[in-house]
Amino acid sequence: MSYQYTLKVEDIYRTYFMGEERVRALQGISVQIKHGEYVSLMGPSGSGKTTFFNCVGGLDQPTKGRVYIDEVDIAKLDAYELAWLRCRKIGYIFQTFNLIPNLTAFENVEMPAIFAKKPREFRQQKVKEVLTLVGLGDRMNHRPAQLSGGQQQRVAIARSLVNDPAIILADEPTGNLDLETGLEIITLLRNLNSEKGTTVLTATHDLKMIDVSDRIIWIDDGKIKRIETIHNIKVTLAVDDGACEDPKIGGDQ
Amino acid sequence: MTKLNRLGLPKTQYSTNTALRHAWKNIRQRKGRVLINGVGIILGISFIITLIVYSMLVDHFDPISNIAREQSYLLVVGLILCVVGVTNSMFMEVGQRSGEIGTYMTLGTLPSHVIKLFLFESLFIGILSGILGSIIGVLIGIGLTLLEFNYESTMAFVDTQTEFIGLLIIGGTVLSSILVVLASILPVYGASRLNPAEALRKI
Ligand SMILES: Nc1ncnc2c1ncn2[C@@H]1O[C@H](COP(=O)(O)OP(=O)(O)OP(=O)(O)O)[C@@H](O)[C@H]1O
Ligand SMILES: [Mg+2]
Repeated sequence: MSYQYTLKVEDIYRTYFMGEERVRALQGISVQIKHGEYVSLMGPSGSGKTTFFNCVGGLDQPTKGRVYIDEVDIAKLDAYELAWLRCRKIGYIFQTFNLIPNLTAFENVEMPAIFAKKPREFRQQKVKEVLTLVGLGDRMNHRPAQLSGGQQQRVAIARSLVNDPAIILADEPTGNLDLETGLEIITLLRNLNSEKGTTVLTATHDLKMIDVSDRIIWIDDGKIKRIETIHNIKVTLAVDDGACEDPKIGGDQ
Repeated sequence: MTKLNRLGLPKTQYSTNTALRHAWKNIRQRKGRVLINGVGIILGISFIITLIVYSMLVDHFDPISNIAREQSYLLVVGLILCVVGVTNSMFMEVGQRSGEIGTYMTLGTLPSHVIKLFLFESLFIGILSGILGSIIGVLIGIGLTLLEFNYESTMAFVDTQTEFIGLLIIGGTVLSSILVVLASILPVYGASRLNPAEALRKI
């Protein structure tokens, strides 16, 4: 079953209070992402990308505004439902890979399926399937420390896929990787998106993400600067190397 | 819970079996950390067992000394030091692993799952430290007696007490497990309450 919008974000704000000081990390962001889209969130360091991901992924509560995943308002969920949502509806990928160090690749990928109460035989088969899909069919019994950065990120991608989530949230998935490995990871995500139809939202300040995205959302200082689709991106880049000409704010929402 | 029914979402699950398996793996692969966490309890338990064995032996050879009663307050001090030491090292452990805890949360764990995993780890640490500490304690207790009394008669008496010494080791292990788990409750509970976003920031 797929809904019109896998992710709908309505005017979210997130303010951090640190004593007297306030950091307005998000200042009214609205985004709608359709099933099967591949969207990149671009913005300089400190622009609020991670904060946005945390709010959208149910890891943190926005100060104001609503987030819907598959048309469920996640602010209305209790702790059990939220755990279910994180487990079944969202696949997270981080810059730091975040694998459980003491578990093998297989066991890491199996984890969300265990939490989802999938039967053992199903898990065995599914974990093998997704690990093979990311090209690690022969590394299943290696622990994270025995894998390269790129391989660890592939394990993380396999883990994010194992429960067939509605959306994958990847916060700077290539941040810790060299150029070539980063490109491989991006290509992998893009292929998963086009072949399996998995919706992908990824954050980056890495321009090589641009080519593969259906849409690019540029944010700065907690606000959307502009939204570009794959069709007008090349033009914009040619004009001003991605600065601020030809803005198409709120483009095709 | 009622909302749960309304949306028809099942709870995520972390069975005791799986949690035990993961806890055991974590213990086996982090031997250094385990030793650091366990060292306080190993010392404490061996201290207590040493006192018991030593005073038992001394009382046997020199009944007027009444050493057992004189040393009983030391037992209490030993116990308190154990708990404080373990609580402290568990706070450190949990702080260091908060990124891992955050990761578990993104995969679908409930706070109770995190508690389960970490308390099982503590239980294993308690059991292992207890066995080790008790055995060390028995050996030191006998060793101290040998400094004062004749070898043959000491060992002859020890031979008659093997059952009691066995019980001491079991008792020391049980005590150690209980203490480590108790000492871990506060740090582990705190960790389970972390907001995932916060926990993840500490990677
Ligand atoms: N827990 C927090 N407490 C206080 N301020 C925070 C917290 N987390 C983030 N911020 C602030 O919010 C702003 C946005 O941070 P965020 O981490 O979302 O940026 P980012 O776009 O992900 O940056 P980067 O590309 O470096 O990862 C920054 O000014 C940051 O200092
Ligand atoms: Mg960030």
